[in-house]
Amino acid sequence: MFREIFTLFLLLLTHSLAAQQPTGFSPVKDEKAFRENFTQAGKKIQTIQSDFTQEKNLSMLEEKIVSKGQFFFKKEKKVRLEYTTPYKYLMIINGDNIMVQDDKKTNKFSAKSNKMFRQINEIIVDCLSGAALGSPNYSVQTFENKTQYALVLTPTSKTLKEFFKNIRVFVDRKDYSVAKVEMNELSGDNTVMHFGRPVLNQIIQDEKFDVKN
Amino acid sequence: MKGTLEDRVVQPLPHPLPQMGGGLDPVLLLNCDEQKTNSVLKKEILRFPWSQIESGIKPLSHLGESLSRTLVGRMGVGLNLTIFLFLLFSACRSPYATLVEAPGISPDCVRKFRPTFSSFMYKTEVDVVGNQFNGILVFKTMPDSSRRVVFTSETGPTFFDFEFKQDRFRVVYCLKKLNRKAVIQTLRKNFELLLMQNPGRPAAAVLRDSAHLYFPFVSGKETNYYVTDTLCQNLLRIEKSGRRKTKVTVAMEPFQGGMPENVRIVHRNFTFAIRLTVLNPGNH
Repeated sequence: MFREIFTLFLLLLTHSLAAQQPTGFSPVKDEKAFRENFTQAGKKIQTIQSDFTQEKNLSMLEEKIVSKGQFFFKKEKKVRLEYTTPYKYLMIINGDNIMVQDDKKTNKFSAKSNKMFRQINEIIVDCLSGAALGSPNYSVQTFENKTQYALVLTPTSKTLKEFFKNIRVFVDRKDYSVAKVEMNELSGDNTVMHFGRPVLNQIIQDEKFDVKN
Repeated sequence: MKGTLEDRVVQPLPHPLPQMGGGLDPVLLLNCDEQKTNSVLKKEILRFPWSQIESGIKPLSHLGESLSRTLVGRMGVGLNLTIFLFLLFSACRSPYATLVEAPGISPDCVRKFRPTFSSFMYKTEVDVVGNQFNGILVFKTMPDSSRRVVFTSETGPTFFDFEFKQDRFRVVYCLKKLNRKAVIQTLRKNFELLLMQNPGRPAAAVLRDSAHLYFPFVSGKETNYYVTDTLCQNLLRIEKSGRRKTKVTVAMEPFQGGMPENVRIVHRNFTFAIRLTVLNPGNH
C-alpha cells in the first residue's frame, strides 16, 4: 500500500515539475556546477543598473498594463525601482527601510513590520544577488537551453504562497545576468519584468537609495 | 461647473463625539439606523491588515493608535447637554428632507449617464483609516456584456477581480487577505454606484433644490441619488443614503468616452476614500 501511495506521489511530483518547465528548456544537466557558478557570479555583482519594462497580463481580460522605468541595485539589499510610465512612481528599499513616492505623497515604513512586502521584494534581490538558490522562501528547479538558464522558484512560505504559483527567472548563460523575471499568480495573471541593457558594477552613489528625503 | 472635484465632495465626518461617561458609543448615537451595519463593517475594515498589502502603509500599531485617538480624545470633557442633543437630532434628520418635487422631469433622464466603455484604466489611491495604498484599477466590458473591475498593484500582484453581469455579482478572484464579506460588499456597492449597475427602483418623483436635480433609486433600506444640474445635462455626483444620513458620495468630472476622467469616492461614516485618475484618456 505504501509503495502505491509513494509511486502516485512521485507521479504527481513529476507531473508538477513538468508543468513548471519553461517551453524550450530542459533540466540542467550539471546542477551542482550551475548552482556553484550562479552563486559565485552573484557574489561578484556589487551594483546593477538597468532599464526595465514591466508587463502585467490580466489573463481573463486579455488586457496588458505596460510600465517602464529604471532599476538600480546595490549590495546589500538596496533597490531603487523608478517607474516613469504610465506615471511616476518610485520605490526604494534600503535594508529594512522602504520608501514609496508618487507625485503627491511619500510614504516610509519598515519592512520588519510588513512581512508580505518584504518577501515580495526579496524575490528581486534574491534573484539578482544569486541568493535565490539558498533562500528558505521557495524551492528551486533549474532548467537550461542554449542561451539561458531558467530558475523556477516555487514559494514555500505561507505569505508568498498566497500570491504566487511560481516565479521564473531567466538568466543569461554568459554572465549569469538576469534578463527576465516572470511572476505567475494564483489568479492566472502574471507580471513579467524585462531587464534591458544591464550595466554591472558601475558605482552608484548611496544617495540613490536614500529613504530619508 | 464651479469648484474642484474636492470641493464638490463632502468630506467624511470625523467620528465626532467622545466616549461618554456611561460608555455609550458615539458613532452608535449619531448614525441611528446605520449604526449596526457600520459597526460590523468598520470592524472588518479595521481587522484587515491593510499595512501588509501594499507599499506606503504604516504599521497596524499606528492605525490602532490613531483610531482610538479619534474616537476617544476629541471632546473628552464637559460636553454640554444642549450641544449633544442638537447634534443628536440634527444628525438624525435626513439631508434630503428639504428637497421638493421637480414636476415634468422624467426619472429616466438620468439613465443616459450610465457609463459605457470598452476598457478604462485608472491610477488609484485608496485611503483607509489613515493608511494609503496605490494601484491600477481596470474597468472592462466583456464580449458577453458583463463588466469587470480588476485592481492590481503597481509592482505586480492582482488584488481582486469582480464581475458585474446584469443583476449578478461574482468574485472572480480575490486575494485571501482581502476576501472578507464586509470589505467585498463595500467595494461592490461603490462600483455599482459608479457604474450605475442595478441602481435600484426609480422613485416616483424626481426631487430638486435650487441648483440640482436629485434622481432617487431605492435599493432596500438605502437610496441612491444621482445628482445633476437643473437641466439634467451633467451628472455632478452620486450619493448613497440611509434613512437619515448620506453614507457615500461619488464625485466625478468630466465624462470622456463614456466614463469620468476623475472620480473621488468618499465614505462619510468612516475614513475610506478612493481617488481615480484616468490613465488612458481618449484611448478606450
